Amino acid sequence: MTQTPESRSDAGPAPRPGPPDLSTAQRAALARRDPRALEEFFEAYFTPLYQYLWRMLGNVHQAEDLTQETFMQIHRNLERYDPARPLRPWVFTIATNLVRDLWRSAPHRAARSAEELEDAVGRERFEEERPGPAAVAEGREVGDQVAQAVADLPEALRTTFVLRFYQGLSFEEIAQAVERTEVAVRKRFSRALEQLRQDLAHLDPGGQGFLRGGKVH
Amino acid sequence: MSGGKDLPFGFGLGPQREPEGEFERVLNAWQAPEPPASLRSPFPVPQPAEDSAGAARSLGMLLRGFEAPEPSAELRAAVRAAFLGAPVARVQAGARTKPRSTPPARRPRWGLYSLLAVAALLLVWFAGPWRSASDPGPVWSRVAGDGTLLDGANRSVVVDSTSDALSGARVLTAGAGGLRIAFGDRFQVELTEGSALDVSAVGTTPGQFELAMVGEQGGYVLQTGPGFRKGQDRLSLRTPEGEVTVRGTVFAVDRYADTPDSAGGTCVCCLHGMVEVHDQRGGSWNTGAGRSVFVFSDGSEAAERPVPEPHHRPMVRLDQAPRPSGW
Repeated sequence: MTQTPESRSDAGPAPRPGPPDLSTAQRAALARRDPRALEEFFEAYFTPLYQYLWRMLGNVHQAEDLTQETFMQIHRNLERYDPARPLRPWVFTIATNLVRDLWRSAPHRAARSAEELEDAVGRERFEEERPGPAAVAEGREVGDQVAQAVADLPEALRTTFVLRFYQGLSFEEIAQAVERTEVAVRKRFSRALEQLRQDLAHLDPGGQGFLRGGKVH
Repeated sequence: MSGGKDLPFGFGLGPQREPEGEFERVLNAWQAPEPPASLRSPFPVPQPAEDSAGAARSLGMLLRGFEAPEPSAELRAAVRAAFLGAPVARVQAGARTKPRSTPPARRPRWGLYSLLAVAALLLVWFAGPWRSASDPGPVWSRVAGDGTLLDGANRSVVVDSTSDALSGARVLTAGAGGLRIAFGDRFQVELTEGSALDVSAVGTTPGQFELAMVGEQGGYVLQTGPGFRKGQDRLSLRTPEGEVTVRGTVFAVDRYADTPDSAGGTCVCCLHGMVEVHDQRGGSWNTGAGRSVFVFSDGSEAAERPVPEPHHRPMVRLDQAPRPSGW
C-alpha cells in the first residue's frame, strides 16, 4: 500500500480533520466577495479559527478579539488572494501573524512577565507543602495539564503543533503558513511531540513509558 | 501450547507434562488486585504501546482531551454581521434598552465595537453621499433654520452661527444619508446615516459663541473652522456617558446604544488638536491627535487607544472635504 507523507507513522498522532479547502470555483467567488461564498467561508472557518486562536492564546477575550480581527483582515485582503492557491494556508497565515503581533506587543509581554512572577512566588510558597504525585494527579484535570503542556511549548513549536494536530493542516500547508520549509516544520512538530511526551510523562501511572518510544522524525 | 508432550516411559519419573502449560495457567490466573481508590489514578490508564504507532496513538488520545470551547453566539453574530456586510441594527434614538443585568465585561471589547463601527461605516460609505470619486460632493446651501426638525437628506447646510435658528431642533438622518451642518465659519458637524442630534443651545454672548448638542445615537464628525477662537468659543457634544468639549480640532464621536448582550458607550476619536472628555462619574481625559477614548455606559473602565481605522477615515474625509464658503 502506498503511504502518503501524512499517513506515515512518523507523522505522530493522527490529526483532526481541518476546515475544508473550498473548491477552486468557491475560492474564486470568495475572492470576488460573492455573498454566498463569503457565507460559506464564514460557516466553514469561523469555529476552527476561533478554536485555533483560543488554543494559541489560552484566553477567551483575546481569542474573540483576534477572531474578529482575522475575519476583518481576510475581508480586506480578499482581492489580493489568488484563488489558484489553497485557501487554508492563506487564512491561517493571517491568523498566525495576528497572534505573533499580539505576542510581540508590549502589553502582552508585560502581562506574561507578571504571570511568570506570580508563578515563581506561588512556587516558593508551595514548595514546603507540595503534595505527592497522586494528589497532584487527582487535583488537576487531564485536560488542564495537557493545555498547560501545549501552552508551555515554545511559540514556533506550538504554532506548528496546533496547526497540525488540532487544525488538521498538512505539513506543506503549515510550511506555507509559517513561511518555513516543510522539513523544518516536520522537525518542529517532532520536537513539539517529544516535549509533550516529556511534560506529560507523569500521566503514565504504570511507569511503562507509554508516552515514550513513539518514533517521530 | 495446548498441552505437554509425553516423555518415554521409565525416563525419569514416568509420563509427565512439560511445565509450560501449567506455568502459563498459573500466570494467567494470577491477577493483581486492584489498588485502593486513594491510590488509583483518576485517568484511564492507556495500554502499553507495542510499537511507535501505538505510542503515538496513546499520546494522541491524551492530547485530544485538550478541547477548545465553542465560540459564543454573540461573537458569531457580530463577526458574521461585519464579515458579510449585513446592516447593523440600529436602536431608535431615545429608545434605549434597559441596562443589562449581567456583570460588565472584564475588559473593553474593542474588536467588537470596531467591527460594528466598520459595518456601520461601510453602510454609510456605500449608501451615503460620499460614495465615489465622481460624486460632486456636497453642495452647501444656506438655510433659514426655523427651530423645527431638520431632516437630513444627503445634503450640507450652513446656518448662521450667530443666530439661534437651530436651538432646540432635533436633527435626524435616519435612513436618509448623511448630513453636514456648518455653523458659520466656526464649526461643522457631520451626522452619519442613522444619527440623531439635539441642538440644545446655540448662543452668543459678546466675544463668545456656544453650541451645545446632545447625541443619543449615531456617529458625529466635528471640525472647527477658521472662525473658531480657542479659549472663547465653546462647542460641546453630550452623550449619555459624558461630554466632549472641543478646543479646536477635527474629531469624531460615535454613540453606541446598549444591547441586551453588551453595554453601549461613547467613542471619541481625535484627528487633530485636542478634545476634553468628561464622563458622568467625574473621569476626564484629554484626548490628543491620533488617540481615542471609549466611555462605557455600564461604568466599566474607559479604554484609551490609537484611533481605530474605521473611525479615522470619516475624520480625514471631512477634513479634506470642500469647505463651506467663508472658511
